[in-house]
Amino acid sequence: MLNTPRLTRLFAAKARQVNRCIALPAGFTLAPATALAHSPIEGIGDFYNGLLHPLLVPSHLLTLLALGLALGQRGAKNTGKPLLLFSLGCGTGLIINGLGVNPALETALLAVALVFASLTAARITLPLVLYGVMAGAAGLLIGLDSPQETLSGGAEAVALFGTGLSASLGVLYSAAIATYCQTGWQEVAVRVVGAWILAVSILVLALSLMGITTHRNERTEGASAHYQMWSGTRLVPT
Amino acid sequence: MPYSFVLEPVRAPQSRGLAVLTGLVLLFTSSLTLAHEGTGVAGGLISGFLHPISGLDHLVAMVAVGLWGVFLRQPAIWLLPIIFPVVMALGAALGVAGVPVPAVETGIAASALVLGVLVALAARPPLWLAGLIVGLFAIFHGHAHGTELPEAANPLAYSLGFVVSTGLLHLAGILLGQLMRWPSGTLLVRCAGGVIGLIGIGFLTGYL
Repeated sequence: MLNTPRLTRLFAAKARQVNRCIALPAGFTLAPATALAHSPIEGIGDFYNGLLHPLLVPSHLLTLLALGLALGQRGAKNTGKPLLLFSLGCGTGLIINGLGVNPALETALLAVALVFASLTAARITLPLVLYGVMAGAAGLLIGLDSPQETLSGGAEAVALFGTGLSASLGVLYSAAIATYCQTGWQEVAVRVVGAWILAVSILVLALSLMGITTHRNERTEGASAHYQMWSGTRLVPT
Repeated sequence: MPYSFVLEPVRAPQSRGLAVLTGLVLLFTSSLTLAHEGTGVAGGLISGFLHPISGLDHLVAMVAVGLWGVFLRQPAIWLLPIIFPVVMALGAALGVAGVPVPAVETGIAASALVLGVLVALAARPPLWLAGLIVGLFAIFHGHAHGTELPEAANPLAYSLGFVVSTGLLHLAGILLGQLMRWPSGTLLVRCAGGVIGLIGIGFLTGYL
């Protein structure tokens, strides 16, 4: 016969160990570190350049994180379909991107990040259908906003595939973290991160509304001459 | 000891001391020093992150918010770190837009004084009043961050930097507030509030 009290104590001890194992690395991820706009690794190939792209463009990273956290808050059972729709949307966007259609969508991405971050910070749960639609839209936007202008043909396809894979994994991992962090201080930490993303999105959207335009890899003079905005980075493969 | 905590798995529950030590380790974790700052995404992130830390008025006020949250207990202890960055971002947007907010620097100095005194007195007003006080000061702090946005910085990275930095200062205040779990800890925390209040007076009178 199974010794249930002993097993319970064993699982509880393991859970405390796992909590500590997660808390410390998660805490150190908050420590200040340098964010490099361009990959320091030369010669890593088209696939890895594409893979790094969503992680190094701030608006993409914020959107992925906000979406993942919002999905994860709903619980593990409810994240599958929106994740799938995100991947499909992203794939569609990347294909359209590969055909030469690549509008600048940073403002739209930040608006999406704002919505998901609001849901995360306030811990508001919407119907699953809405999450699916919004996740698909977010994937489409990210795909469209990920051009590989210096590549063509097979190299471009490989890079775009890497981008799609990285974006999907980014949402998956952040959703997994939020799914695990459902109680106690961990739940609060997820909501705080959502608040941070919300705050950043509000500020940058306010800049956009004031007429400070964004162009990829170019400085522009907007309505306020003092402020210029970069839309992010583009990795140049060697 | 932090050293053994980092290198070896914890084998016995030491939750309270561990929480404080973890916070202290995080506070002293170093980052890379770059020769060129203030440009591009990386420079904007670092500039924004350092802005609340490099200003003593910002720093003590943010720590005081965390300390006061501990006194206010649930749900303020986690509600304030969620609401504050959002309101601060609104203030920053006003600052970037050039919308004037009267007496910003005075407001920031007053935030250190008021919050420090509230911690020293262990004041526990209703949640809505505490939120109102903290929100008002968040506007001042955010406006200051927004108007000081470096010209060459990436605004998104800069705003991410100062939002994260502010949140970590709140966390530092909350972790320091955990000293209240020890018998003399409450007195220590209230004294810290008093020191913060004195620093606020120093800024208001011009001595600092």
